[in-house]
Amino acid sequence: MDKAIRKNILKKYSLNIVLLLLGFILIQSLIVTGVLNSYAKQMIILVFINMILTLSLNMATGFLGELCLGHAGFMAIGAYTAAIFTKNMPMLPPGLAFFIGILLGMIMSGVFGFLIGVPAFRLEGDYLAIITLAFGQIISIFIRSLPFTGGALGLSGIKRMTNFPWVYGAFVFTLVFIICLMFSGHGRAILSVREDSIAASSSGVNVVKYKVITFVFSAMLAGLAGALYAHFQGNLVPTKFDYNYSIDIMVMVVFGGMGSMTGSILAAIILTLVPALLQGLAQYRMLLYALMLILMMIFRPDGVFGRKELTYDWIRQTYRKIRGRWKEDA
Amino acid sequence: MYFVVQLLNGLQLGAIYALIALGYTMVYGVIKLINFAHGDLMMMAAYFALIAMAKGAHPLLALAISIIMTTVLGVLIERIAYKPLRKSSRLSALITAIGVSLLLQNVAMLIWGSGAKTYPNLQASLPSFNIGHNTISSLSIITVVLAVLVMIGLYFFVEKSKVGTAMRAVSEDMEAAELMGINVNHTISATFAIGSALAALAAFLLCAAYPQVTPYIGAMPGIKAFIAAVIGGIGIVPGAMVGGFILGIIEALTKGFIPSQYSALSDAVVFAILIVVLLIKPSGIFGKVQGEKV
Amino acid sequence: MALLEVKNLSIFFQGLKAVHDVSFEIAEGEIVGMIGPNGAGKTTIFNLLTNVYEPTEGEIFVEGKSTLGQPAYKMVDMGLARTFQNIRLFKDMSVIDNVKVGFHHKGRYSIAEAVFRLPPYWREEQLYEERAEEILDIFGMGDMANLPARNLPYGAQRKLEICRAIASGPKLLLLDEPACGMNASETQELMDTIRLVKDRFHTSVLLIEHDMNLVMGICERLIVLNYGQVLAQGDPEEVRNNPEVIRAYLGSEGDPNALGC
Repeated sequence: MDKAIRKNILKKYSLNIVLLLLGFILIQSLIVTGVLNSYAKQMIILVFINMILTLSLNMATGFLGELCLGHAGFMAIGAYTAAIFTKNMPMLPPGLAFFIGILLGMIMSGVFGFLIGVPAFRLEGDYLAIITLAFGQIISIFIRSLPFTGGALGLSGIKRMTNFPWVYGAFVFTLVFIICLMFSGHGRAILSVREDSIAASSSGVNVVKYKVITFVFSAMLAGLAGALYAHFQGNLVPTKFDYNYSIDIMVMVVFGGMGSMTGSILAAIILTLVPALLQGLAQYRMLLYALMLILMMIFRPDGVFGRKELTYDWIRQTYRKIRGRWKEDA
Repeated sequence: MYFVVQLLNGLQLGAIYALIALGYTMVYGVIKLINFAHGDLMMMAAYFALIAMAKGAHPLLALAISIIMTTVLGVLIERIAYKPLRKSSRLSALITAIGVSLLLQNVAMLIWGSGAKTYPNLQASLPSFNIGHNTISSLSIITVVLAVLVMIGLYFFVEKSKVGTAMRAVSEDMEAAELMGINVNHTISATFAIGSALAALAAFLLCAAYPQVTPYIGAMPGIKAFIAAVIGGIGIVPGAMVGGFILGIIEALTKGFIPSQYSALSDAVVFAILIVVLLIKPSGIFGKVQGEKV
Repeated sequence: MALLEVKNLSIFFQGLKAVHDVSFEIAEGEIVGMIGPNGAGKTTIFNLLTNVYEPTEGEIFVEGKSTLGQPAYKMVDMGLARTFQNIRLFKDMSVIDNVKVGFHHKGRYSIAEAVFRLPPYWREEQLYEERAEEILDIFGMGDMANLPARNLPYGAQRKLEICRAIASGPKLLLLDEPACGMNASETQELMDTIRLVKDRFHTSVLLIEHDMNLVMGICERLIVLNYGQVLAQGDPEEVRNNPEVIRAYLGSEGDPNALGC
C-alpha cells in the first residue's frame, strides 16, 4: 500500500526531479567548460540565492498569510553569524567550517524568528508586519554599532566558498523541505491557519504554534541564503540588508504569486536578471516595484503566474486542454 | 536641569509622534488597515510646506497650503489604492499600503532628489528661555500645547459629532453601518482627511524642530508613531496621545543619557518597548481585549 | 453520567448578561435542538462550549471533565466539534484536505518525519486518505474530493463543514444554524445527513436552528432560550405547548415558523 502512494508521489513530481537534475548538469557543465564568463557565473549564484530567499519568504507570506517586512534582517543574521564563524575557525577544513557556519547562521536566524514571532502572533492582527519592519531597521543599527560585526565599514576577508554546487544544493534542500512540509498534515495545518484561523482552531489546530513554527522556518531559510551570500560576496556591509532589500524579496513573492513555489522561482529569476541587465532603469526600479505592488494587488492578487504549480499533472492537463482546443478549431 | 530639558524635548517629540499616531489609529480603527504610507504622507507634507515657503509664503500660510494638499493626497490615495481592496484579504491591503509608501518615497526622490533640503529656521524667530545653562525654545511649548488641544478637539469630534459617530459605527461594523444609512465611503474619506491633515501639522512641527527634509524622514517617525498607537491601544484617540508622549519621552531620555556613539540604539529601545507591551498587555494601555467575531 | 453537562453558565459583556445561569445536559446519542429568538444567546453558548469565550461564571463538563481553562484548539480532543453560522471553510484548499484538517489533532508524526518522509508519515497519510474518502463517500461527496472548497455549491459547503467536524471524531457535534439559507429540499437532505451523523458515527448532536420543520422533525429534545436564560426544556411536543414559550415567541416574533436566520 505504501508503495502505491510512493509511486504516485514519485510520478507527481517526477518531472520536477528530472528538471532539477538536468538543470544542475547543464549549468555545471557550462561553468566547468568555461562557456559562461565570470559575470554570468556570479549572476547565476545571485539568482539562486534570491530563489532561496523568495521561497522562504513565500512560506511566511504565501502559505501562512503573514506579512514580513524584515526578511533581509534574517538574511543579515545568517550572513554575519556564518561569516564570523568561518573567519574565526581557520583551523577547520574550509568546507566543514562553511557547512557548520551555514547551520549556525540558520539556527541564529531561527532564534530571532522565534523571539519576534512569539509576541507578534499572540494576538490577532497585523503586528508581525510592524514588528518585522522595526526589526529590519534595528538589526542594521545593531550591526553598525556592535564591536564584532565590523561596524559601518563592514566585514571583509570572508572566504569565498559559495560556488554553484553549494547554492544549487541549498536551493534543492529549500525546495524539497518546503514541498515535503507543505504536503503533510503540518502543511495542511499551516494552510488552514491562513484560510481561517478560527475554523482551524476549532478543528484542533494550535494556531499560534503553527504560525511561530512556519515563521521560524522562513527565518532559518533566509539565514541560509544570508550565509551563502556572505561567502559569495567575500565581504558584508550593513547597508546591503536594508528595507529596500526586504521589499525586493517581497516584490518577487508577490510577482510570482503568493503561495506558488513555481511562481517564486520564476519571479526570482526574472526580477534578479532584468534589473541587472537594464542598469538604465536602476533609478526607477523601486518606483516601478511600488506601482507593481499596488497594481498587482488590485488587478491580479494571485501573481503573474497564478496559483498553478509546475507538476507532471499540470503539464498533462494543459496539454490535453490545448489539444482539445485544437480539435475544436479543426 | 538637564533632565527637565530632556523631558521637555521628549514631550515635544512625543507630541509629534502623537499627531502622526492619530492618523494611524483612526484609519486602523475604521478599516483595520495599517496605513504604512502614513509616515510618507507626512514626508510629502513637509515638502509641500517647504515649497510654499520657498515661494515666499508666510510659514503659517505654508502650513495651511500643506494641510490642504496633504489632505487631498491622503483622500486620493484611499480612493485609488485602498478602496478597490476593501473586500480583499488583509494581506492584499497591507501590501498595497507598502506599495503606496514606496511610491511616495520614490516620487519624492524623483521630484526633489534624495539629498537633504534645509528647512527655514523657524525656531530662531520664536522667543526662547534660559533655564540654568540650558535654552528652551518656545517651539517646544507651542508644539505640546497645540498637539494637546488638537487631540482634545478630535476626541470630542469623534465622540460627539455626527461624522465622528459615523466613524465609530463604521469601525464597529461596516455592513451594519451601511444598512443604517451611513455613507461608508464618505466616512472613510473623512477619516483619511483628518489623519492626513494631522500628519501635515506633525510634519510642520517636526521640521520646525529638526530643519531638514529628505524622502526618508517619514519612515522612522512613521514606525514609531504606529508603535505609539499600539502602546496606547490601537483605535483609541486618547491612547494615541498617551502612547506618543510615552514614546517621545523614553526616546529623548535614552538619547540624552546613553553615550552618544550608541545614540542610534535608542531606536532599539523603542522596539523593545513594543515587544514588552505586546507580551504584557497586547491591547495597549487603554485597549480592551476584543476577540474576532465568530 | 451525561456526555455534556453545563452548570450555571453565565457570560457578561460589559454588563450585558448575554448568557445568564444556563444549565442543561446532553446524553450520549441524543439530538437536541436549541431554539430561541435572535439575540437569545444561542451562538454565545456555542462559543462558550468551544472555549472561544471564557465564561464569567459556571462550568462545562464533557464526560465529567471540566473544560475550564482549555485553549479552544484542545476542545476537539475533549470530543467537541462544531460548524459555523457563516460557513468557515478553508476555501482555497481541496475538499479532501478540508476533511483531513479534521484529523489534525490525532496526527502523531513529527515535522521531521514529514520532511524526511519517514514511515510514520506514509502510514498516517495513507490512513487519512482512506478515512477522508470514506467520510466524503458517506456524505455523497466522493466525486468532489479534489475540487477547491470555494467551488462547491452552498449546500455542499455546509455539508463539507459537517464532514470536517466529523473527521475529528467528536462525541458531540455542535451545528450552528445548519439549514440557514437552504430551500425545503436541501433542508430535507440536511435532516438525513444529521441522522446519518448520529447513526453512523454515534455522535450526539446539539443544533441551533430557526427552521421549525427541521427542529421538530429530528430533535428528540429542545432547549428554549430567551434573553440569555433557559425558558423551557423538554420534548418537542411539550415545548410547543408550553405557555411561556408561546408567549415569548408571540410576544417578540409571532409565529415561530416565521423566524429568519
